[in-house]
Amino acid sequence: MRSEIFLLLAGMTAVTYIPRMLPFVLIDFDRLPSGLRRFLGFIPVTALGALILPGIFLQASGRPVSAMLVIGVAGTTGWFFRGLAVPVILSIAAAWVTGIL
Amino acid sequence: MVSAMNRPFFSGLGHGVIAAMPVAAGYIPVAIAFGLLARGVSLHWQETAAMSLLVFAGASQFMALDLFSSGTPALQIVLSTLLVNLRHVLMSASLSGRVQSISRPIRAVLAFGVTDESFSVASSVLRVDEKSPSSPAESLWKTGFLTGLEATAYLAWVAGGVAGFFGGGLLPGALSDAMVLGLYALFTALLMPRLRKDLLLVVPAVTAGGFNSLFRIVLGVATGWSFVLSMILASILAVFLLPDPEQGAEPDTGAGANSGAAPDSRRDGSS
Repeated sequence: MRSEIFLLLAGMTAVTYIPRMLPFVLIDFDRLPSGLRRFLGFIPVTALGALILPGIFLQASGRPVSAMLVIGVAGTTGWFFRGLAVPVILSIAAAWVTGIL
Repeated sequence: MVSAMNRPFFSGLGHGVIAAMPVAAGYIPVAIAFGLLARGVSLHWQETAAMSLLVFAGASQFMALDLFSSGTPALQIVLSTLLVNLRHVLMSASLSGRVQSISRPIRAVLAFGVTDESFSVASSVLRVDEKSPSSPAESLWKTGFLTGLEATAYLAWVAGGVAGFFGGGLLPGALSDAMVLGLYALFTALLMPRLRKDLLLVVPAVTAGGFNSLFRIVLGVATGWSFVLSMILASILAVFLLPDPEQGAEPDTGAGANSGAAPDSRRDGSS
């Protein structure tokens, strides 16, 4: 491995691992103020919102119908079915079909 | 004796591997594209594999290839990577409330595999730890679940990257595009049980997505900042605007499907 790449990877590894590790290891959740606990309790939902939008429309650029179909199919099946396999498989199938057509 | 003690761990491990399947299905086409692109910017296969093995962060790795190919200094690439990864501070902090029963050294290992996807799945399956000490069985189940989830996703990511380097376009283009969109189907499907439990949560979800779209597309804010700001603003708004379910309690204790009580009462099968 080239030494410049080695240094790059070492740096990237550090700045990827440390932000994941420090809060995960150090936080004593019960001792946090209740407001902060509530704030962190909303993070899963707000993260999902920000992960979906606008990413799906950028990823499916030029194919907004596929993007909306994925949200529609995954949203409907995710509402009614437990588990992730059914929504994900049906959405991939729907996006594939619209991509081929 | 030993096997009886480890049973919750292996039960969790199995559930984690199953829960990781949709994640792996989404990772593989992205990883193949990464491997192909890495070869395109003249990285060696060992360097490509090492990046996936060590960094394990899709967005950062693609950005690094892009910057590397345009001759950006390594230090600047590292700083850009840090910015893109800031959102994981929030995700790890949030997820930490669900792993308090796991010892700190083990948490330090499991933290390596906290990605957007593993975080989203884990925080919908694992419940928040009670203030009273959890049973060792529950802690073992959670350790097993996170190990299975993260290891499976990691394997798909690394293997896909190497396969993409050597195999190139292994998947038909239309199928690959559709599988990448599967990750967004995963996020959408993870959101639904939460909304079904409390429809008001649609407000923070849509607010965060709206802010992120506004910042990135309209205002041209860098992706890393846009993401973190959107999550923070939408979560703060939710704290002040949404009703407080029992003083200080969590607004969401899981996606319903798998947020059952003790490990032995968890439903088997899909998650």
